[in-house]
Formats: sequence, C-alpha cells, structure tokens
Amino acid sequence: MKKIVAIANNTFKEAVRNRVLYVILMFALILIIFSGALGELTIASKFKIIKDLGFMAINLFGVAIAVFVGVSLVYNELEKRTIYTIVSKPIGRWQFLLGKYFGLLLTVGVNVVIMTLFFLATLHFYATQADGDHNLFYLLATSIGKAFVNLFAWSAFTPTQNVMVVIAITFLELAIITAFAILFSSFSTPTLSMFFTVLTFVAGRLNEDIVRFADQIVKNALEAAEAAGMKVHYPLSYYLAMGAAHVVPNLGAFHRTVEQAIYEPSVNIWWIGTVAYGILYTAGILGLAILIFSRRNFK
Amino acid sequence: MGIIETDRLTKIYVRDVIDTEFGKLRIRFTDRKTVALKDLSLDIRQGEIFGLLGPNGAGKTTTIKILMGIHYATSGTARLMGKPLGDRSVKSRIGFLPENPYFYDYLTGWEFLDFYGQLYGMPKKARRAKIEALLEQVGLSHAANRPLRGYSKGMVQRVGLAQSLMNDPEIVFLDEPQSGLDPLGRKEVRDIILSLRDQGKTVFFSSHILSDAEMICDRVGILFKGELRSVGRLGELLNQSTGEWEFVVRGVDEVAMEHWRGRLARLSQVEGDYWAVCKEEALTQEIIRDVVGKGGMLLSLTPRRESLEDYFIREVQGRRS
Repeated sequence: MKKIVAIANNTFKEAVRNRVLYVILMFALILIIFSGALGELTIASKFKIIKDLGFMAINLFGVAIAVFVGVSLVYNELEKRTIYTIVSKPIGRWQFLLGKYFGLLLTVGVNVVIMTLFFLATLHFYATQADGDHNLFYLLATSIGKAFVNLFAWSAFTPTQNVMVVIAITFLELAIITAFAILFSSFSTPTLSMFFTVLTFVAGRLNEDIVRFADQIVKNALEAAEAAGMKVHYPLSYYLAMGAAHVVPNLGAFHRTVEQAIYEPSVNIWWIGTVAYGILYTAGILGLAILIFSRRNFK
Repeated sequence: MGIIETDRLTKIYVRDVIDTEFGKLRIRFTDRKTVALKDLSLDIRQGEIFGLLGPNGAGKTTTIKILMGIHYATSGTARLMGKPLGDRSVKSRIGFLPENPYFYDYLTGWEFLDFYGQLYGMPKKARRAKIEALLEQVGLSHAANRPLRGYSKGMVQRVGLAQSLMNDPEIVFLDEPQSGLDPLGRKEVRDIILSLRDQGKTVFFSSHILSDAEMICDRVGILFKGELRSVGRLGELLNQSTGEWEFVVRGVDEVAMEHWRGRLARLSQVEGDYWAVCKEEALTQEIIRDVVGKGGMLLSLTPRRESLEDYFIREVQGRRS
C-alpha cells in the first residue's frame, strides 16, 4: 500500500507540472464565474442556469483533465524509460499502475474541489445578493466562506442543497473515465489513447439513448412484420449491438442519478446502484489494464 | 552455485512489418524477427566483478533487461540468488542502473532517492540516513536540494548509481555505467565499483569501454551478435605475450636511431627519448646493443601483453571473417 501511495504521490507531482492542466482549469473557472451573468439574461431561474452550467463545467472539464493529463502518464514512463528502474524494484507492475491511477485521480479530484469551490461561491454570491443590499466585499467574503463550509457540511445552506451529492456522483463518473485513460495509455500512444478515451466517454453518455432507440426501431419493425402475417425473429446484429452496449460504460446512469439528486432529492434508491456500478466498473477496467501491462515487454 | 545463473537464455524480438510491393499491387503483413540473444549460459559467482563486453547491438542490454524483468525471455531460464526471475524478495536485494538513465527531472536529488527508498519499503529514518551517506559517497551532497533537471550528465549518472545502492544490495547491475562520462567521472564510477567489491558485493556490468573493464573486472564475458564467444578471467583470455617488445631509449642521436626505423613496428620521439616497438626478440637485442654502444641509455624494456582491446578486436574480426 505504501508503495502505491509513493507512486501516486510522484504521479501527482508530475501531473501538476503539466501546463495543459492550468489552461483547462482556467477555462472551467471562467465559465463557472460567468454563469451568473448568463443567468441574468434568461427567463428561467437564474440558479438553475448557474447550477446547470456549473455541473456541466465540472463534468466536462474534469473529463478533459483526466484525458489530457492522464493519457501521457504511463506512456511517458515507457518513453523516457523511467519504468526501467521502477520495474527492477520490489514492486509489482499492478502496484505501479494502481499508483498511476490514484495519482491521476487525486489530480482530477483536487481540480474538481477547486471548481466546486468556485461554483459554490458563485451560487452563494447571487443568493446573498438577492437577499438584500450588501457591498461587494461582504458578498465575496460570505460567499467564499459559505463555499468552504459546504465542503464539510454538504447541505448547510438552501441554495447549495444537493450540490455536493451531484459532485460526488460526477467524481465517480470521472473515476471511470480516468481508469479508461490509464487503460488505453498502458498500451497505446497518447494521441490514440486520447481518441479512445473521448470516444468511450461519448459512447458511454449516449449508451442508454442509443439502446432505447434501437430497441424501439426493431420492435416497430417486428410489429409491422407480424401485422403483415410474417413470422420474424430479432436479427443477430441486434444482439451484437446489445452486447456492445453492455461493455461500454453506462454513463447515462450517472447523468440520471445527478438529475434525480437535483430535482427529486427525496428518491435516494438510485444512488446505491449507481455507486456500486461505478466502483465495480472502475475495478474491472483497472484489472484489464493491469492484465495488459503485466504481460508486455517495455521498449 | 552461482549468484547469477542463466541457462540458454534466448530473446527474439518480433516486429510486425507491412511489406508493400507496388509493382505487384500486393500488401503483406510479415513478422520480422531479430535474434537479440541466443542460448546465453552464464554462471556468476558471489563477490566478483563480472563485465559483459561486446560491441553495440551485441545483446548486453537485452541480457540485463531480462534479468531485471523489463523484458521477458523467449526461451531459457535465469536465476538470481537461486530464485527465479521476478521474485520480490530477490528484487529487494539487488540494485540496477540502466544505460543513459533518465529520471524524474522535477524531483530534487534528495526527493528522487527518497522515492526509490519508499519503493524498497524502507522506513523514513533509515531512508534519511542512507540518502545522506549515498550522496556523500557519490559526491552530490552539495546538489541534494537541486532538481535533477539542473544536473549534468555525470551528476545524473552518479545519482543513478546512488539510487541503485539505496537498499544496500548484494548484487548491483550496471548497464554501461561509464558511457558518456569524462575521464574523471569514469574514474569515480570505477572507484565506486571497486569499493562495492571490497564490501563483498557482486557487480554485473556491461560496457564497451574496454580499458575500464580491464582495470576492474575479475572475469569478463564477450558477447557478439547475441552469442557468448568466450568467458573467463582476463589472465586466461589474454595472450600473456604477443612476442612484441617495447622499449624506450635516451641520449642516442637521430641518425643512429632513424637507421632502424624500417625494421621496427613503431618508432616515435617524445621529448628527446625514443619509444619503439619491435616484433623480434633478436632484433630488439641487436638494437639495444647498438644504442648502448653509441653512448645511449636504455630506460625501459618490456614484453608487450595483449590488451583486452587487442583480444576483443581479434575475436570480433575473427568471427566477422
């Protein structure tokens, strides 16, 4: 365990030196801060706009960090041959890969916390502003203070209730994407890994919709055929597509859980299933990455 | 029983190559095989300095990579300290410095060694004491808090050497430890290797710098195109006498010495003294008698021994032809 922590620690040190990280973070923070201004322009609730944009920013930019920083982490170790001295030490390849994963997850986590703080502060800022006349200094001080309080007491204030639950679920989704970044990075180049990881994210998000859509089309076709008096079966391609849909992560489930947490906070039953699914899926992907990584020759 | 044993170790690299023959409009996927190591059997004893020598591409690094678990052998077996490769308990008793090492350049020398100490599972207190001692040993105490990216090549090599000694290993594997170093750096590395032997450690290193190997090796193995050509003590491998004689004379006039030039293998003048190499014993005696008879003085006379370089060239050229 200590060895995994040592690798993770070193990975974190390496990741925070990546300038791409700061560019991504900057864009995310700008979007979060200005979401309030955007909220002013809409008919819908200002807080809904801030929340929607904030959640989206944390999710998408979190994925961007996992992808852009993550895909080169393992590859760099092989390319620069730093892996040579690591492998010769009394440490298993699985420990090395897990260390890399948790180091990257820590980097993603720290960035999510920073984005969340800005997001919470933005929410508190507009909520306090709507409360009454306050000067700017007071607004800033209380919103930042309340944002920090939220980190420890999740639903301490009205405007930010349920926000932390959403962040936690989002982080779990990011944990899956991070595992994919490590998996692809363990056997292919950064460019290909980036492509594969983004593709997995998009496929994962659209997974449920596509399955539902395909189901409907086939069902309609079968009904039409039966009505015409023909006896037909589900085509093989349908089963293949369904099989593929079960291999690709179902990220839509996280999205649904997030929506549930925001709009129907009283229904909690979804969580447990989604959390279990996220953890098991991540473990599976990491297991596969370890399997591949353990068998390969390094250049 | 040897501390490092390999038995018919073979490594074949397979590369997938796409052959295109546009004339025939044909595309083929073929495997291109390279035999990097062929039936290598070695037996290294405890406490010796063993040098694996050979030209570039001979299979030296491949051998070390297999022993370190970086590559897997295609066939054959190897054992370290009597246990199969990859054994965790063995890994904690060996040290390794790769060729032209590149390390995490954002870490300082201290952090770098501390990181490796953690991989060995050393407690914090032990790490601190060991790092201090090692930085002192490799002469880098002054640069302990500087990031590695500011280190010169020699300094990186030395901190790499320190890294390989972090766990006080019983066997140290060094891949080309002296390549790219200046003469002073090479001497320092040489001294460290010799001090390791004094501490009873086994050193297995690869090199193509033969003069260095000659100075420190107990035994050498000569590898060429993946095959072990010979292995043994230097004294056994090298011809004790080449039949050539080397001498230096002083106080002899130029005309008298130039008279012999045609019959000598080499003749050169260094600050008034003449340095000569002669291939015949009788001729050597004749020249010396002549020089001394003309008032000159014989400063030295030695039979020429074959150097490792001579041997190496003889072996490699013999195989090539």
